[in-house]
Amino acid sequence: MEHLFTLRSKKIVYIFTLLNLLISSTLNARTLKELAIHSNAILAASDNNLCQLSSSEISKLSQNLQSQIDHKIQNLKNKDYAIIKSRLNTCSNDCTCDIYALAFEKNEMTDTANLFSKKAELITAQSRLHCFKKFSSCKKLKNTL
Amino acid sequence: MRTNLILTTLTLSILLFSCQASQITHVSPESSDTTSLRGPAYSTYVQDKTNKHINTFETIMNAKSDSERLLQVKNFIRRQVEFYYIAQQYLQKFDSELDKIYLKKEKQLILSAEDKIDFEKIRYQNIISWEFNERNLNELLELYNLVLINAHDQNSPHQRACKWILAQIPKWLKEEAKTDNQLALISLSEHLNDVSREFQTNYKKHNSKLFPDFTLYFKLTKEQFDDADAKFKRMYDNRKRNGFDSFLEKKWMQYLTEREESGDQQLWFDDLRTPQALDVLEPDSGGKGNVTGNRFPQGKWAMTFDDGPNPTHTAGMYETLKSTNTHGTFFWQAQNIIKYPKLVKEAKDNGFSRALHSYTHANLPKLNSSGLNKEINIAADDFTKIIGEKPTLFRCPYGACGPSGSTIRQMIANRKMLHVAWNVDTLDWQDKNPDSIFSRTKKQVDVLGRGIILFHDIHSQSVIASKKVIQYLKTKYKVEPLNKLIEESRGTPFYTP
Repeated sequence: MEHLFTLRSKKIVYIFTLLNLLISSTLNARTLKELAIHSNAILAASDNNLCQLSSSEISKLSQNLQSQIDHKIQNLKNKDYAIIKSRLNTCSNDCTCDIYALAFEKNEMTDTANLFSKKAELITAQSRLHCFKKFSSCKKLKNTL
Repeated sequence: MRTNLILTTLTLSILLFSCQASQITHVSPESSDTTSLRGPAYSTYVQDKTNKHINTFETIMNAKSDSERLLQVKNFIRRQVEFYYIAQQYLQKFDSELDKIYLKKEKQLILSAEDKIDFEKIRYQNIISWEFNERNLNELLELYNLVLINAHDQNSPHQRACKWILAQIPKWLKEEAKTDNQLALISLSEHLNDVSREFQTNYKKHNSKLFPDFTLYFKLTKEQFDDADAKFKRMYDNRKRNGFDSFLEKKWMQYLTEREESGDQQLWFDDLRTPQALDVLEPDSGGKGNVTGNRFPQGKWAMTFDDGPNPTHTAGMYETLKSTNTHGTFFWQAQNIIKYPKLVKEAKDNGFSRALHSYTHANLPKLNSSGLNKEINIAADDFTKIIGEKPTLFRCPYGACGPSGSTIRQMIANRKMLHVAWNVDTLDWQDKNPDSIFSRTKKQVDVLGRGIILFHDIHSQSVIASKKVIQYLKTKYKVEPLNKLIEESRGTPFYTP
């Protein structure tokens, strides 16, 4: 009986650890998605004169974001890349393809980087504005200044 | 510095309006072969009901005598000179307020409500005064264009009068050059010359004797510019407030009331002009050395590329620069300099400048002293080992060096390096579309008129976009080596390896 209990608790620990790993990797990837959406907001604000931000403020936002993205990319695991790769067909919807391409580029996964780049190149200023309206706001953008 | 400031603002106005000057010839040279041989026909213009300047022109032409006509033309020109001074004065005030606010922020002082409203007011008035200046200049240049068209059109009823006006312009310029209005005259002559040039380009057969020579009034020596500058300063210091100032005051009050009524309390801080106070051109032990390009001579740009050398894209950037005969300054990470010495040497062989961008692109303010030592001192040592010369320029990764006088800035200055920032950020690292990178850069370039452009030599989109940017810059501006522009701005030599 005692043996059975230990076995069960061990199983729970394994399941918990696995779940934890899955959640943390998803979180990591999701955070890159948030950063990518933020990146689009900066580009949209710059190209459409949104949010009354000066060019130096835009640059500051961009530099801060670059630092966060670089940090995030350094810590991405293979599992994260697998999750991000699955977003190839949807990244145009939230204008996040550029940053995913960058992540694969930095990890020297050129083929996948190119696939995302091709999608990213097709994103127009108008679609950036649409994504901004859908997923971001001036308040959110200014909060990161 | 004052001279530079005034000269740069002068050229800003020239650049701001140069687009208009190039747009004012409406009759296409391809529209009719006969027309292109003879010159444009005034009748084509008269039929163009959208051209609102025709009426003004006709009014002037219907004056009783030549001298009365000339008087009216002179009045237009005088009004432009007046607008020019007013706009310049508001721009000076705006820059000084911007500096004041920037310096307060640097010292971490809290901005009072008064500071904010003062700044907002001058910003608002500055914009309005430039709008009026622009509108008036546009009208004046359009009138000049009409004078040229009529002088060259044998069928025009105004040909004789227009020829006479053209003959009087050099006399008027000569007279005006003797006054304190020289800076305005320099600006105006350059615009008028643009119109003449455009006209001459479009209509090959013309009587060249009819074109006044404006170049005499804007191609000046440095001493002549300095003299004009001193006179200009006297002019605007002693300028008496006039009706236009009252109008601006009224417009501001109106804006404030409307804003209060709408409940919108948003302050305007969306300027593309950046504080002049940002630039301190000497590296010093206090760690204040910093270059943004805001004080560079107007119309001059430096191209800079960060993060390489990169085995895939740096060579592409060399090709872009070589094919456009352009100089570039590369801010590189020491770790990449060690990895790719061939590319480092190739940059020198091509005449490009090499500068330092830390060791590993770390976020410097987050590091302890040992980390900073590696990213600044060891990076500078390794740069020297590979390149054979000490770095003289440094750019902090993510532009993060801490405030003026910070430990990081002091360490950079202790190595006799000047910190280089930028005033145009292409955002190329986050955008894969070269066309949108180009449009974004072009927009900033046209507003600022001079400075430092930030690109990266580690992305394919940057290679394509930078070529587009350079090609555009070459149509309106000059692209020069960064160290030459630093030299020109501070008046003493500055070397980069």
